[in-house]
Amino acid sequence: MFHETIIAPATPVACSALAVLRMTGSQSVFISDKLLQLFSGKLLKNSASRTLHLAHLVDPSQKQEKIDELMVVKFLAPNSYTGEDLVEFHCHGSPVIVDFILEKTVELGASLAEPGEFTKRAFLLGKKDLMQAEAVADLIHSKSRSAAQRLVRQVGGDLSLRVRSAKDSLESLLLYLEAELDFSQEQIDFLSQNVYSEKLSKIISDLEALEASFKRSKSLSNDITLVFAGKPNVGKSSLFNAFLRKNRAIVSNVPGTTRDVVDAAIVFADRCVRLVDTAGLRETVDSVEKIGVQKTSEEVKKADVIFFVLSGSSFEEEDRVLWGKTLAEKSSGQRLFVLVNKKDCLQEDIAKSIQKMVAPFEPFFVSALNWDSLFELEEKLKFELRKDLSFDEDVFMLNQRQIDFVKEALTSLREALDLTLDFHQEILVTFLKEALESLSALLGEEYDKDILKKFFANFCIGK
Amino acid sequence: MEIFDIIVVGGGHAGCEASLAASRMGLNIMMITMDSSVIGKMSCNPSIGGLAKSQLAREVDALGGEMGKNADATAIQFRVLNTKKGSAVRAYRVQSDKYLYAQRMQRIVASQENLTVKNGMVTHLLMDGDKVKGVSLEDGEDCFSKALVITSGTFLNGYIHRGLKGYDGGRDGENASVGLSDALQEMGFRLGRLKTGTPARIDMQTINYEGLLDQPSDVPLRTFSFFPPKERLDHISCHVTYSNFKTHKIVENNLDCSPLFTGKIKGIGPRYCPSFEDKIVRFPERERHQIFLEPESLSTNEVYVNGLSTSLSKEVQLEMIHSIEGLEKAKVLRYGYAVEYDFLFPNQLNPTLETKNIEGLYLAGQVNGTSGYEEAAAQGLVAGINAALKIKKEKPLTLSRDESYIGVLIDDLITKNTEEPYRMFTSAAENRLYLRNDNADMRLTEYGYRVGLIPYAQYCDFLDKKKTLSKELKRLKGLIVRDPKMKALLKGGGEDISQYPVSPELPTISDDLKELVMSEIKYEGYLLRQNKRLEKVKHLDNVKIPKGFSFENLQGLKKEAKEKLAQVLPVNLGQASRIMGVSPADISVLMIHIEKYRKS
Repeated sequence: MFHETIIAPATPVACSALAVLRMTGSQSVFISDKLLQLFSGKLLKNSASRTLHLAHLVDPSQKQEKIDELMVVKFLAPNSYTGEDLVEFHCHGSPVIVDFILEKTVELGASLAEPGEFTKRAFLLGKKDLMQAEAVADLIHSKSRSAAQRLVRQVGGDLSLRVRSAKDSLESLLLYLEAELDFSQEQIDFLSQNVYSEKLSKIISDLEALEASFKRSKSLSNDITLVFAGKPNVGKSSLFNAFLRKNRAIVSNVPGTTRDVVDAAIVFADRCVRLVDTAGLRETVDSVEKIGVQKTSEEVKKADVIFFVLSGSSFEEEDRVLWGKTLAEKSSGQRLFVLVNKKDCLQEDIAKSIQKMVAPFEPFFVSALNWDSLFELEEKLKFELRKDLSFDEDVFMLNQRQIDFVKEALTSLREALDLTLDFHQEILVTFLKEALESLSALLGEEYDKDILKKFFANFCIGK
Repeated sequence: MEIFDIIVVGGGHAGCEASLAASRMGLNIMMITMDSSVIGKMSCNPSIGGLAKSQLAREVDALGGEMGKNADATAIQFRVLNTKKGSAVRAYRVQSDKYLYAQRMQRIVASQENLTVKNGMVTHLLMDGDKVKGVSLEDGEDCFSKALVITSGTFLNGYIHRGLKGYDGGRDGENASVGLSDALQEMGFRLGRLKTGTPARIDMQTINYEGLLDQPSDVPLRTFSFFPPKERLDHISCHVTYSNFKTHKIVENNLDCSPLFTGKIKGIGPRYCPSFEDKIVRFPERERHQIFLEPESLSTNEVYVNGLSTSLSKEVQLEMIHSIEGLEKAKVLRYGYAVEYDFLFPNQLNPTLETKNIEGLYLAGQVNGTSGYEEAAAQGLVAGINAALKIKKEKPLTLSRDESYIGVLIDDLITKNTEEPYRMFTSAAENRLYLRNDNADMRLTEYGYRVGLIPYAQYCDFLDKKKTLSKELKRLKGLIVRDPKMKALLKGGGEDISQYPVSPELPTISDDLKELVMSEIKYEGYLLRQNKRLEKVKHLDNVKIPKGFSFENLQGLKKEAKEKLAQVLPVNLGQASRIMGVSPADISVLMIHIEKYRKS
């Protein structure tokens, strides 16, 4: 009875071991097959109902690049929670992966579920007890009401003003074009092609700016990668373990112990932080270590925060070369901290040389061995990261649903821009109306379809 | 005592269509009119068609109605509107000879089998419980029927305004219908009051046409009807002139004796068709207003002064007219006036136009708060068909919003709150690119044939046309692939039928078909896309709301939504979702309650 395939995360979106997403509707198995490579080599379509599969999550637009390894459960109608075909994804609990699945399934034709929609379908298809009807109704009602209110509240301040101003411009543009179709016989100066194109382009560029800011806000809400980099044997792995509060990376006093990248996720400063320990950077003939060094460079490039680690007990020309390289390659968005480890056996002249070399950066002197000054470092890092976050909360609100509305509106508007007023006005008006609907939904407002009302107020119409 | 199948009250555009449709469907019909000599009269502008209205007229024709044929046979000027836009919003408009229009309609009505015309004024309804069983007339006579269609136009408690003097009347010189309004109100119907107006008619011989813009008929001539009658009249031009500063000054100086601005008129007039004094007051910055001089007949000198609708006094009207270029010496044959009348709030109707409370009672036309001949005819046709189907115990005919303007019109009427006389606009139709002038037959002929209004021979011709259409589409799509010039021509948008690449195998292809083929090609992709969007909401239309379902005590609904729903009593969730003040969340809640109701 329902045509649309819908998807929603079933677990809270936060860093966790696992996350569960549910997709239901007639297309759910079809869409899943586009995103999955089952280890069995089969298609989900050809497997039985109520079966569990190990699979790779792949990106169909990126030559099947593997994103995650996950488990998938297939349920065929009517034996599922909703009574329709249903697929459950049990993936690793990173918001990035959850977002990826949402984004890709929506691209493939699914819609994000309304609050309570799974339960609603379950009820309507007789999967839920009749006595629960009122409870379900209440649930849907309260949730969608509060969802709309949240939307309005969250699209606060600046952002909401910008959406509204784009919507208002669009409305007045549409008003003219729509009215002309019904009142072309009147003596009214309607829009010329140039004025139309100009006004529409302005709306599009305003929305593009919004889209870009959404993207920025999204990156802020993604997890942060913190990379420990430096010469071999300065204590990167020890610091990594200390931050992690457990002995994850092997620590020894043999330089080059860490040959591969080791990573681990922690929650830090209300954010998901991915800690990355790397192989020490040095010229090496060992082919395995060479690969490790190569990987380190890649991680450093991707990092949000770089901990450049030096040793307080030895300082060599190699450190200078590495520092120069790190500074040169650091991108503007990256944060760099200089850590001088082995504070317990710090030499005065080395400390001075390092301070001179890294100025104006202030090195932190710490000791992974006896945890000296580590907490101070953590506090400093927390402070820095929270600065980003508070900025984030004031201006941006990240929400796949909202991004979708903006994208939808932009698609329609760009299509309209491709058409001329002559002989196509009736078509482009359809696109503009679509865009207006998307923006109204974004603002959580009912869209007033009586467009002509305003026209009557402003123009003399009628014989 | 004879019992008719259906009694139709009123002989205007709605009444004629209702009577003709039902009698053509084989039922025994009586039309009761206050004056059978004015059946089919064009009380305002003698024009059929226009933007969106043209589509309505063609839809009426495709279903087997009479309006299109009558307009074609009596047209004296023809125009195509919106030629710079795509064919989806293009429209025909004709000026008819208003006497011949009414005469022809009267001839059709008089010669129609199973149709009896009676003169009389209906004052009461005869009831059998909640079911209607006939009417009583003013003179005490009772007439009986199984169903009743009321198409009383502007006659219910009609009151004419001209200057500060007013009098009872349904149209100028015709009596109002008194009694029926009260009777309906006593039966529990909610009534409101609307206003409309008409301008003066002047003598063609006294107009100085020199210097006025001439508007001749467009060629080639096209027809509303897909099977037009052979009769044709000569065509003459309309002309354009303008009001000026002097005219506006005259109006301003006389506002103190305007029934509109002294509060005498309480009914709500249409915003899209304001009286001239309304234009002057609301838009004082405008230096001039367009005025069309439209001949009303080939056999008389009456000219309709389109744009100068007014309820000011005769003296002021004369002064206004004389201030206008070309009309300095014009002789006024009849003066303009405004009329106020009762209407029934149309949200008391089902989509079949049967009232929700009284079984067998149908309402159509201006009594439902609409304006315009085409809107009236469309409703009359739907009411007549459905009353007949009910008596035949067949499934009712309801057209959806995405297949016809008639569907949009009726759904809007029964769902939205009428605040002014309702006129059809293309912007009201979500599926505008599909609801075209050129494909009304493709959309609706099947229905017309099924209810018995399209004769078999005509239906066969229609099927042939359909076949040719698909052949031509295939051929032209082939041309597009092979020839980029063809692609530019056919996809580029002009839908200029003079450029149509006629096939040697089909040299006689009609203009109608050429236009249809070109539209189909241009809109194909857009329609696919639009359908996808419409599909999303379409499933709501399939969720029927059971009869007797009560909205009063539903948990989880907003108070406003409850009130609106209880007033409109929507028949399905789609209709419920279109009521202003009912949110998507309310619809979710409603869906659950309906399911619960159905299961228990």
